[in-house]
Amino acid sequence: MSEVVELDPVIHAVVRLRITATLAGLASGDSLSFTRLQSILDVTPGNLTTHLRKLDDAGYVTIERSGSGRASRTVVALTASGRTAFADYTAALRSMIEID
Amino acid sequence: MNDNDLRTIGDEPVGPEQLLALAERSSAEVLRQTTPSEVLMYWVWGAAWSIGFFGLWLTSGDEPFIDAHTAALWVHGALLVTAVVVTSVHIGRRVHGVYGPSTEVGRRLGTTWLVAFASYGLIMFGLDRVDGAGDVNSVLSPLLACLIVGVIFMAANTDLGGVAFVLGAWILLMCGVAALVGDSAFLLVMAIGGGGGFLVTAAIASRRLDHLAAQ
Repeated sequence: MSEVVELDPVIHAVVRLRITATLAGLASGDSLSFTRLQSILDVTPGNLTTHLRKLDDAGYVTIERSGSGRASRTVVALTASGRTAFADYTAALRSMIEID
Repeated sequence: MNDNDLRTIGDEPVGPEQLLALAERSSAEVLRQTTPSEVLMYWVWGAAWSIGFFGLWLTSGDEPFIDAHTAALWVHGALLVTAVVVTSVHIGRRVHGVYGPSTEVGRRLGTTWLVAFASYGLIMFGLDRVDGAGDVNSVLSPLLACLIVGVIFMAANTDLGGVAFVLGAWILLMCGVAALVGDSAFLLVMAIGGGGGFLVTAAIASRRLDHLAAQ
């Protein structure tokens, strides 16, 4: 009987997969500013905001805003559950490759 | 391409292999873009030490090869300042927008360099008042700087399989050798041993990175 492998629908979108993988690539406990994340991913601010909101709703990222006006800063980090979800997602991909 | 469409990425059909490769590329890319290149810093400091100290050696002693010691001092100073600027700008650009424990470690390391060399400046100023002739100071000045560099490299030991640790130990060894050699020959030891140590480390670290990238 073949095993059915489920992929996490929250991560299973190109931009959200790239966001999660990018944040997971940082050292544990580190975070990225919104603008730096946008620059690395080369996506529009609106697009990034949309996908970050979905990840935030799932509890996979934290989005912290501080300051106001020109001094304002938005910082994004992967949560522990986000890191686990990403590890599970890549493990699921690996098992799909092995099954094939 | 629809951002949520995982049937294709560009014109390519998407399978688990492509998704895994995309995830791995993204993780590797952020690491590449936010981690200061130690290889670049070794090249820059290696060039500054090798050229600077070699120039000083050529123009030092009772019968110098070239009679332009003041010019060599300016070139040496300019090379060191250039190395500091290149290193600082490079690190600043790489860690811009990154927050957390790893950047805090980097900030503390940067502060350590700053405080150590501020203290070095005060020590040399104080010694200059005692030893007016400056013979001892002209030898002590580069050796004390060398000592600081070696100790910090060994203690920081943050990088590619500990190459900075070995480099720090090598630089400290060269400090000792240079001090024993004395006269103007110690400048040649600093150029070849110290600067050369940086350049060899750059080549080794670069090969290690290529090897890791190929895996």
